[in-house]
Amino acid sequence: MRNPLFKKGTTLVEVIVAAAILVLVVLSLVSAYLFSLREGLGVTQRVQAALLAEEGIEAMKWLRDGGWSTNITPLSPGSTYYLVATSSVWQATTSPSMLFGKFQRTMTLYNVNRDTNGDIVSSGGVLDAGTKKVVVTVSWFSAGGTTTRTISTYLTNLFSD
Amino acid sequence: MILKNNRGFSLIEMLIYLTVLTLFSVLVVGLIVAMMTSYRKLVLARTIADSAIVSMERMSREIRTATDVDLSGSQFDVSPGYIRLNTTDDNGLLQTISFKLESGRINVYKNDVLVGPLTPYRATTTVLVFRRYVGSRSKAVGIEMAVEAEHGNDVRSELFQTTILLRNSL
Repeated sequence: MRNPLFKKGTTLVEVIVAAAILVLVVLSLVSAYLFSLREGLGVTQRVQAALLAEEGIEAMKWLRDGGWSTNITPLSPGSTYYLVATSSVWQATTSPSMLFGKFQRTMTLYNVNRDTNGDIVSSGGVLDAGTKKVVVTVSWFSAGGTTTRTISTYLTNLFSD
Repeated sequence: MILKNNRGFSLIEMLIYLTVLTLFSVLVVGLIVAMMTSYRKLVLARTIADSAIVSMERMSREIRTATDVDLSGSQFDVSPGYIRLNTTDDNGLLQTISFKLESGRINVYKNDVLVGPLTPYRATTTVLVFRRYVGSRSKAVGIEMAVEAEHGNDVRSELFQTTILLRNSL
């Protein structure tokens, strides 16, 4: 048993080591908290973006229903388009526009090639003029830089028009 | 006797300790305040997102399965807007589903009988606008919605927008 009379207290090195450990623990806790906070606060933008992306796909289907040769064929594959609704009609334009002042929604069509079995192939095959791949991308700025959400599907010339 | 050798603290030591303690306390208090503020923001964000998801999901599903929009029971391009959809129930019988913004809540009506609100208790739907897109074959309905929530002094409002094609209108 140590005599309290000779207790020497803590040395400077001990204090510094203890403080360093404490700071490290607090810092890691804070950074974990900040990460979860950033993700948690970003949920609103992700919901908004998902709905806007869904709208983009629906608008493309609406355009397809309006006539394949009228609405889909004139759009050049690989080019970037913006989907806007003007006076109760959806349109694909080339002039950029922002949604809610912070989201940019782009739409790009790609040609679809099929092999001899009729399956879609990424390279080779024969061009199928009655099918297009449609990719809708919604991007926005957030604390960590630009975030992007993409959804895609295939459009077919359902009504042969 | 035990304290015989204890000379106490010098003024300089005391000042250093006090400074360190003060700095540390300020840091910790600041951290706690910041955490509480951000927690409030987090609660707001979650309330708004939950409300938006529930409302948009339900309206999207009903619009997607509807055969047509009943124009006499719908108000487009203005807020508060309302819409009445012609659908069929589980037994294939005709029924109408309506969505109306009434005193901050989106109410669901089945055959014009109130079913209940979509907007949860803690959120308020401040804007609801329906848009109508009529093509040569298909019809689509656009929804624009603003959801607001408050927690203490914090108020947050967010916009949501989507468009749904009436799959059964062809």
